[in-house]
Amino acid sequence: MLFNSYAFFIFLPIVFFLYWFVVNKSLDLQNGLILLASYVFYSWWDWRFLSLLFLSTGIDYYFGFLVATTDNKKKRWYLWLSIFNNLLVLGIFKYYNFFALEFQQFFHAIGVTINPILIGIALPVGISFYTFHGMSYVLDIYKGKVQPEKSFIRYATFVSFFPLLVAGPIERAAHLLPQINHKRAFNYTQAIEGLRLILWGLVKKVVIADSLAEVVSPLFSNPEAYPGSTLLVGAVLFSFQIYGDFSGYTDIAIGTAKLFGFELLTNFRFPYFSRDIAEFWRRWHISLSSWFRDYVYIPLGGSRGGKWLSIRNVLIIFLLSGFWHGASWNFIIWGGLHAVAFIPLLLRDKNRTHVDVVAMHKVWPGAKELIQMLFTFALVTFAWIFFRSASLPQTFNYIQHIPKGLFSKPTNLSFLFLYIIPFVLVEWHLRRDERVLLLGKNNVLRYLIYILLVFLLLYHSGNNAEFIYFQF
Amino acid sequence: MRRFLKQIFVFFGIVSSLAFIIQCAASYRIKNREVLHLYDNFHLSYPQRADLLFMGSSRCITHYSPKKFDEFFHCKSLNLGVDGHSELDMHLLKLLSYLKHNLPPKLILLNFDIFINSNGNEVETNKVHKDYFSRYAFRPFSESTEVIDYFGYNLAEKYFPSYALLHYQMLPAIISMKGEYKWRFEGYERHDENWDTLSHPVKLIDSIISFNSEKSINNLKKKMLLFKKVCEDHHISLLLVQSPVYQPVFTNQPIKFPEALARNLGFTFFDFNRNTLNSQIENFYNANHLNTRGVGAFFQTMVNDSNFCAFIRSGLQKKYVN
Repeated sequence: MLFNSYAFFIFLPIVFFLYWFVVNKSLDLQNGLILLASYVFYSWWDWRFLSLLFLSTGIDYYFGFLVATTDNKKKRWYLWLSIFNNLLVLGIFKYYNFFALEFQQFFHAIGVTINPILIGIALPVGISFYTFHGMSYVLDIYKGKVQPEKSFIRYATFVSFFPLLVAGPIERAAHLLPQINHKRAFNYTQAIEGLRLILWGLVKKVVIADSLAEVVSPLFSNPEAYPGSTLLVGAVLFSFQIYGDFSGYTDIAIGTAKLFGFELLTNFRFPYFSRDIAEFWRRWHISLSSWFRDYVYIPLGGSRGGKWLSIRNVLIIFLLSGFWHGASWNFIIWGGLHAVAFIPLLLRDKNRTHVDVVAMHKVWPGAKELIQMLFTFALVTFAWIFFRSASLPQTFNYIQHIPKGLFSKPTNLSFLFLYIIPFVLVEWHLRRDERVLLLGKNNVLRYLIYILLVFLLLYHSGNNAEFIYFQF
Repeated sequence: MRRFLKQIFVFFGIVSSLAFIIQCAASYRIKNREVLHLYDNFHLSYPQRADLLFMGSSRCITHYSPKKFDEFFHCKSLNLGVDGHSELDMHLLKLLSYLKHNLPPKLILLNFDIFINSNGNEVETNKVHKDYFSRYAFRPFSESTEVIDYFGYNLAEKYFPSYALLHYQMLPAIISMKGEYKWRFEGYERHDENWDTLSHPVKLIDSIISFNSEKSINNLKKKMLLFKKVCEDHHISLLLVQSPVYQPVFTNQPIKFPEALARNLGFTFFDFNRNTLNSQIENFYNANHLNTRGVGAFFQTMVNDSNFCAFIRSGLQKKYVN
C-alpha cells in the first residue's frame, strides 16, 4: 500500500479509530491490531510475500532466544547462523541473479559457457529493511543491549510495524521494542506533530519528487536527445527528486507512527545543507549509515586500528551501503564515489569538523559555508547520476553528453525556479529542527499554509508514482 | 482526543468548503463556454436545436463543416464529434446525453469507417481526454452523466468538490480561459495546413485498426443496432458515411468492410472514400484527416451525389417530433 494512495487514506483512519477507541484498554490488543494492520498494509502489495516476512520474523525471534540463553561459544555460532539466514534471504531474492549473471559473463570471458538458472520473482518490497531489523535485534541481544522479547506478537510488531515496514527508517530493537512494550496514551501534541509531518512528507513526495520525476525520467532514458545544460539541470533535479521521495516517505512514516504514540528514529537532517561528505552522511539516511557504523564499521575496528585500517573499513561500509541499495555495479560505484570523497577527510582528521547545524545563529550562510555546501552538493549530485542510471553504459552516456551544448539554455530551468528554489528556502528555514515543522505562532497564517499545502497536494495528485526506496 | 478530532473536522470542513466554492465558481465559468480546444464539446449541445447532427471521432470533427451544410440544405446542423474516440459506445452515450437535454434532431450523419469499433462494455474504455472531461466530473453539477461515467472517474473525483479539477490540473485553464478556442466559427475543426511529410512521413499503415476478430465485429454489430434503435425510437433518420482517407497508405486495410457491415444490418451507407478525393495528398493534413481543401472537395462530392442529397433532404423535411 502506498502512503500516497487512496487505500492508505481509508486504511489509516480506520486503524487509528480502532486503535484509540476499540482496543485502547489493552496493550496486547493494541499491538495485535498494529500487527494485523501491518500485514494488511504489506499484503496490499503482494500477499504471497507475507509468508516470507512471517518466516523471517519467526526465525529471528527464535534465534534471539537461542543467542540469549546459550553459552558464549554456541551464542556466537547462533549469531552467525542468524546473520547467515538473513543474508541468505537477501541473497536469494535480491542478489542471486546479479551474481549468476556476473559469473556467466566471467566464464564467457574465459571461454566457458554456463547457463545459470535465474530467479524470475519480483524483489519482495521492503526485504532490505525488515531483514536489517531482524539482524539488529539478534546482534543487540548478542551484545547484551536488549533482552529477547518473549511475546512473538510484540516482536513481530517491531519487525513489521507498517509505517517503517517497506522503506524504513531502519529501527533498533533497543529503541522501538520498549515503546511496543509500554502502554501508549494519546498525546495531542504528538498526534498534531504527526499530522504535520504527514502533510509535509506528502508535499515532498507528491509535489516535489513526483513532479520532478516526470522531467528527469526522459533525460536518463534518452540523454542524446537533450543539450548538456538540460542534462546538468536534470541531475540537480534528480538530487531533489530522490531527497523529496525518500525523506518524504520518512516524514510520513514518522508522522504516522506518532499518531499511534510511537517515536521513530530520525532519518534525514537536511542533508543538502552539508558542508562536506562526512556531514552529508550524518544527515542522509541516518538509520542506515548508523546501522552500518554500529554493526559493521565498529566491529571491524572502526578508526581505532590506524589510518590504513580506517580507510579499509570506510571503503567496506560505503561499498556495502551501495550494494545494499541494489545488485548492480552502479550502486557499488555510487558507494565507492562517496568513499573516495570521504577518505581525504578521514586522513586529515576532518571528518567530524561540521557536527552543528550550518549557520545556526544566522539567517543566511556565509560565503565560505555556501561554497562548501555547493561543492558537497555537486559531489553528491555527480554520484546520483550513477545511482539513477539503469546501467553503467547509460551512466557514462549521460555524463558524456553533459559537455555537449553545456552553454545552451536548459529546457527544464523553470522546474528549478518553480520547485527547487522555494523548496530549498523552506527547508533552510526549517533546518534547525525538522520536528517543529510548519509550526508558527500565528494560527490563521498556519492554517492558511496548511490549506495551501492540501490544495497543492490535490493539484499534484495525478502524479502517482511509487517510492524509489520501495525497490530496495 | 476530543480536541484532536475537533481540529481535524474543522480543518477538513474549511478545506471542503473552500473546495466547494472553487467548484461552484469553476462550473459557473465553464457553463456553455467553449474552453480548451474541443475535446469536451458535448456540453455545447444543450442550448441547441439542431436539424442535423454529425457524430463520430476526430474524423467527424474535422470533415463536416456545419456552415456548409446549413447554407446548402437550409438547415441547422451541429458537429458533435469526439476527438480520440472511435468507439461507437461513446457516440451512443453522447447521443443519449444530447437527447436528454434537447429535442431530437431530424437526421444524424454518423461518420462510419475502418476506425470505428466498440469495446462491447467488456474491456477497459478509451480514456483519451479524460483530463479535459474532468471539468464536468463533479457529479452534483454534472449535466451529462452518461458521457462522464464512461471515463470511469472514481468516487473522490465525482463527489469531492474541485478534486477532479485539481487532480487533472484543469483549474488554471478554467481561471485563465487561455486555451479557449473558437472552433465553432465554422462549427468544425478547420485545418488549413498541408501534410507535413517531413515530420510525419507517408508510410503504409500495417496494423488493421478494427474488425480484427469475430468478437470485435459482434460487439460493433450490437452497438450499431442499439444506436439504430435509439434513432428509431426518436424518429431520427440515420445515415452512415465513410469519409476519405489517403488511400495509398491504407492499401492493406479492409476499407470496404464498413460498407458491407452497414448494408448487411440494413443501414443507409454512403462511401465517399472515392478516388477523386483519396488519391490526392493535397487534400489531407495527415493520413486520415482532411484539410480545408479536402473538406471543400469532400463536401462538393457529397452534394454532387443526388442520392445523398435526396436522403438528407427527405430527412430534413420531417416535422419535429416532440
